Amino acid sequence: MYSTKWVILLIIAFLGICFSPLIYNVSAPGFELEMPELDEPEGDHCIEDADWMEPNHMDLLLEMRTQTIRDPGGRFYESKTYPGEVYEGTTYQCFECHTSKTDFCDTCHEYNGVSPYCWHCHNTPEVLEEYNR
Amino acid sequence: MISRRRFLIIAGSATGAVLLGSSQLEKALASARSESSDPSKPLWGMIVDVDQCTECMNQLVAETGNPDPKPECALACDRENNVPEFREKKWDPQWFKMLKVRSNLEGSEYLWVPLLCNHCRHAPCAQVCPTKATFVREDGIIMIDYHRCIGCRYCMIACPYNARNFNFKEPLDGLTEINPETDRRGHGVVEKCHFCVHRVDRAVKEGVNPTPACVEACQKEAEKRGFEKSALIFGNINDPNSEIGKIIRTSKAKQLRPSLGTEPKVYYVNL
Repeated sequence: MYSTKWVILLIIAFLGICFSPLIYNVSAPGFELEMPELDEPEGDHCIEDADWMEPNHMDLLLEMRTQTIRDPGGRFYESKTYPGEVYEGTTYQCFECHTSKTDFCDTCHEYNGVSPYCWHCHNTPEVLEEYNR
Repeated sequence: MISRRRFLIIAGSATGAVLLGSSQLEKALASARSESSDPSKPLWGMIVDVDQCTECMNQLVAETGNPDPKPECALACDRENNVPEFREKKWDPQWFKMLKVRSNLEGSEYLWVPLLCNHCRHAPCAQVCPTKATFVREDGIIMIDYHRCIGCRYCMIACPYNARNFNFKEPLDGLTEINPETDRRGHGVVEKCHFCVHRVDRAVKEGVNPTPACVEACQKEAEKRGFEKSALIFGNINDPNSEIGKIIRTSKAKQLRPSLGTEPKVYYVNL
């Protein structure tokens, strides 16, 4: 290989630029590696297994939303983990147990840097409290 | 010169194609001609008694002194579905409007006609929607998937009943109270009446007759004012024994603008 010294130097510089956002964030003040602490919901259990819900709740919500709107009988969802338990396909149902959006949804979403657009239209406990005083 | 073998192959396949095509065509025509009327498969519709509406509205005008008051049914709709209220009419979405109409003839009296989404069987709005956000649900309710609506307003142009509203402003600004059980709409989507679909779904699950918010309010108001019956009746058109099924089959219930062939499921009597 010709000019080995320069090639290796350039590779290192290239990798440095690629990983600069990570390095910047890790070295930023207030950086913690711990997972965010979620608000403990009321009630016995979630509509499906909680460990399954954690990575898959968005897929379930998408599925439920399509069924609720498009299918005349699709508003009611029967739990697969807890057979016989029927839930209605509304976000209102979620907030009966998860009583706060800021302490539950937002904590994780902010940590992961996602901003779902559900709350432009669907009512959160915070908005309800503000308007239905 | 064509060989006998070739001639038979061509003639046979041509006959087969014609027979197959005609049988398919016949099937398609037959299904298009007759509307399925299986009572167990509901087709939701509404009947409006314009005489009752006019009487109730005239009383309301006399009571309030307001020439264009909002009746209890429209208020119930706003409360149930979080329909925002704006002072300027051009920005104010209304799912349930009261129209004041009369004929051109001298001395004719005003009628109050409620106008809501007519839930057409052949809905022009669903036909023009480029994203398939508006569609005809299996039970005949015209639904909007607000997640898919891009706010192009083709449907508003297509709708012959002017039943659709665009959210020019953020709906939260026009709300004073929110019903937690239903959603709001976002800024920039089209919204309209959906026969209180959440109530319909719940009632079907429980096996009872559904009552949308306006019908419920109308029944209460009719009782309060001492009318014999309420002006709005909701039910399954396919069921010949339901109240609405009987009225449609036995009286002169009219559809609005029938010449357009949209076949609305909202019928008007005494209009």
